[in-house]
Amino acid sequence: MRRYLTDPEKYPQTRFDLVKEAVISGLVVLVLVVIASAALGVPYVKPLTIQQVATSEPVLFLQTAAHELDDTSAIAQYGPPYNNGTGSLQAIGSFHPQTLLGVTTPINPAQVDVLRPLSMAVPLDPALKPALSRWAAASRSQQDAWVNAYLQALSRASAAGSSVQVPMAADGPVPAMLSALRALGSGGLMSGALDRLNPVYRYDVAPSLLFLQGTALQQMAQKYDLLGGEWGIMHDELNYPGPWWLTPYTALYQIPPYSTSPAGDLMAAYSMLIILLLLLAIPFLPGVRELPNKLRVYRLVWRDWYHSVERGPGAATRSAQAEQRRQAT
Amino acid sequence: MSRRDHGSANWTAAVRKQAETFTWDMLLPTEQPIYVRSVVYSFGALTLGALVVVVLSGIVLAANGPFWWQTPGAGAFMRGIHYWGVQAFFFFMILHLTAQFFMGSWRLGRQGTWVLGVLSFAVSVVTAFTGYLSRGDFFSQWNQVQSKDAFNGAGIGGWFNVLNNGQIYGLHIAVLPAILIAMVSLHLLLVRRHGVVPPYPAENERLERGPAR
Ligand code: HEM
Repeated sequence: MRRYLTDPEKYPQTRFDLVKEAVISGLVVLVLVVIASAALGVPYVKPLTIQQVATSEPVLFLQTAAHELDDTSAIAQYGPPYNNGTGSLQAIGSFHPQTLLGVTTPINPAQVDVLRPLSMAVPLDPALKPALSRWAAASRSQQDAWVNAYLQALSRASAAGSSVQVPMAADGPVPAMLSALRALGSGGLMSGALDRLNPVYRYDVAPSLLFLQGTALQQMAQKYDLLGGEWGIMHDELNYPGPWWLTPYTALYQIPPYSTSPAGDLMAAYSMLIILLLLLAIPFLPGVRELPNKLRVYRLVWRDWYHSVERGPGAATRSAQAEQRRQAT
Repeated sequence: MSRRDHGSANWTAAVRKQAETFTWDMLLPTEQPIYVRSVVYSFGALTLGALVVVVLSGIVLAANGPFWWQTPGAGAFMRGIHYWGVQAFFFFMILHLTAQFFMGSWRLGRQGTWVLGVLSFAVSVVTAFTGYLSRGDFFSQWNQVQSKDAFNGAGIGGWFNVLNNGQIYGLHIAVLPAILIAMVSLHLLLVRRHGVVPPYPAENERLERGPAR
C-alpha cells in the first residue's frame, strides 16, 4: 500500500484540517442555496388536466377521444411496451432493442380511455347503455365508418367556449358516447376513471398522460418553448435553469441524423452510452490519457509548486544535478 | 496461519486486509503535501457539500409528501433548497471533473477513482432526471411524455416506466440515492487511500526522469 502514498520525503507536508474543510464547504453551499431559494424561488407550472382540455378545447378533446376509440391514435399504433404496433417502433436496420422486453405495460386505448370510463358512467347516465350496446354489437368496419363520419362532422363543428355543435352525420352511437365522455371530463371525473391500471395503487398515470400526450400537451409546451427542436426538456423552465447537464444529450437532437431520423431517440441513447464508455476509459487509452500532460493546464493548478521547484531556493542545484545525472547515463 | 486467512484470492480476506491497513489518519489526514494549494481542491468538497444539502432537503421533502412541496410556503421553500442544491451539485461536479481531467488525476494507480467518479456522474444525471419527473407539475408531465419515447426506443422503457409515478419516485428517493451515496463513499475512500495525486514533474525534474507517465 505504501507505493500509493505520496512520498513525504519528496513532498514536504503542511498542516491540514480536512474536517474543517468539509464543514466549511457544506456551509458555503447551504448558505448559497438558502439565499437562492428565498430570493429566486422555484419553477412551477400547474399540471395540465383532462378537465381543462374537456372544457377549454372541446373539439380537441372529442377528436382525441374519437381517434382513441378507433385505434387510430398515436398510442394505439405505438408498439412496445404498450402494444404490438409499429408506429413508434425505433430501429436501426434490424437492431430494435425496443422489442426486447416485449409489451410490459399493455394499453388498449379504446378500452382504457373511452369504453371503460363510459361503462363506469352508465349508472350516472342510463341513456348511455343503448349507445354502448350498439357500438359493441357493430362490426369493425361499421365502427370505422361511424368514427370517420363523426371526425368529418367534427371538422365542421362550431365551438363557442366550452360548448360544441357537431353537425348531424351517419355516425351511429359515436356522438352520444363521446359527448358523455366529455361530460365526464369536464366534470373532472375522467382521469380518475382512466388511471386505474391497478385500482388500488394508482401511481401509474400512463392512461391519462397518453390521452393528453398528443396535441393538448404539445400546445401547452409550445407556449413555454419546450419542443424538441427548441432544446426540448433541457430548455430553461420559465426563467429558471432546466436540466442543463443534459446539454450534450439534447444537443444531439439539434443535428442530423438524430434530428431527422425516426430512430433518433435510439441513436441518441446509444451515442450517449458510447460517450460514457469513452469517459470511463480515458485513464486507459494511450494518447488520450497523455492529453493533460500535453495541454499543460495543470501548471496553473500547481503553479506555486512549480514556482518553488523551478525557481525557488535550490532549484538551480537540482537542475544541475539532474543534468549531470542525465549526461552520466 | 493457514492460507485461507491471507490468500488474496479470498475476497473476504482482501476486504479484511483493507480494513487492517486503512487508518483514520488516511481518512482524515492532519497533513497534506505542500502542492495541495489551489481552489480546485475545493471543488470535490463543494460537490460533496451540495450532495449533503440535496440529500437532507430531499429527506424533508419525502417526509412531508408531494402536496406539501407543491404548496407555496415552507414546502416550496424546501423544494427550492433541494432544486438549487442540485444546481450547485452539478455546477461543482462539472468543475471538479474538468479539473481532475486537466490534472490527469487517474495517474499512479488512481484509475478506479476516476471510474467511480464518472459512474457517480452518470447516476447523478439519472437521479436528477427522475427528480424532474417527480415534481408533479406541467414540466414533469411534459418530460414524462417526451422521455418515454427515448427510454422505449433505447429498449429499457419496458422496465423503466416513466409514466409510472410510483416506480420513478421510488427510484428517485431511495434506490438511486443509495447507489449514488455508495459510489461517492467508495470514491472518497479511494481518494484518501491513495493520497492526493502528485503534480506532473517540473521542468527541471523532467530532464532527470523523462516524460511523465
Ligand atoms: C458525486 C460527485 C462527486 C463527489 C462528491 C466527489 C468528491 C471528491 C472529493 C471530495 C475529492 C477529493 C478532493 C478533490 O480533489 O477535489 C475527489 C477527488 C477525485 N475525484 Fe471526485 N467527486 C465526484 C465526482 C467525480 C467525477 C465525476 C470525477 C471524474 C470523472 C471525479 C474524479 C475524481 C478524481 C480522479 C479524484 C482524485 C484526485 C486526486 O487524487 O488528487 N470525481 N472527489
